[in-house]
Amino acid sequence: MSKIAVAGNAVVVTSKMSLEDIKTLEKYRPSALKLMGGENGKEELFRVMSTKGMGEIDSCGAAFGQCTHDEAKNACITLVFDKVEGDLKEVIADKLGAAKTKLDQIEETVPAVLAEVKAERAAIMDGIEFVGSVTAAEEPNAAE
Amino acid sequence: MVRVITGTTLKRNDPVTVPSTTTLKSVLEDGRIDYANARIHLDGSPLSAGDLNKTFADFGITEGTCFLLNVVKADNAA
Repeated sequence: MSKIAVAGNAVVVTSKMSLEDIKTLEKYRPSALKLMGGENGKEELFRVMSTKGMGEIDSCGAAFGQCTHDEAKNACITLVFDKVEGDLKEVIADKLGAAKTKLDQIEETVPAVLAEVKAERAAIMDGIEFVGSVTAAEEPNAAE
Repeated sequence: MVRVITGTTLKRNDPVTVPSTTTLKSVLEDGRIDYANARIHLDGSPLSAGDLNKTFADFGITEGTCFLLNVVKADNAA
């Protein structure tokens, strides 16, 4: 489940996914980062993606541009909430609540998809064979 | 995040969600919209040379939905 932390006016949304995982899925399984719904499930309700910079998040999607500085390297978005009137927690819940719920839904399905992608990639790499290498004894000029 | 509807005057693509720091050109390229032989309009306003390399945030669009359409220039029949 994603987390929202507040330090002063800075609000950091940290995902359970790493930025690397998001980039991997963008490349091999972009549909895993989308939440579909609406009529016949064809309307894109929410989307997770990677970007550059501090990132953005709202009810349409979340774009992660940074990661945490610990070993987990979880993807994170840093927002600044200044000129806030009223309780900051309530303002954050209003602005980010729906986005966080949808982000959590996507995060639940990601581990299985990632495992599948990694297994496929490992199988592909196992099938790659290096041929044509010549040992020193086999070099044409070795005996001369 | 910005929800962008690309297309032409005759056909609209499904909306795509992008960060507001995305350039207009990259959205057109991803949507395979030909911007070389037509005038591109952003929310009804025609764009000038060099505008395609600007981001949605540069145009003040940081959230909500916007239209990025390819409008073919054609002379009226005499």
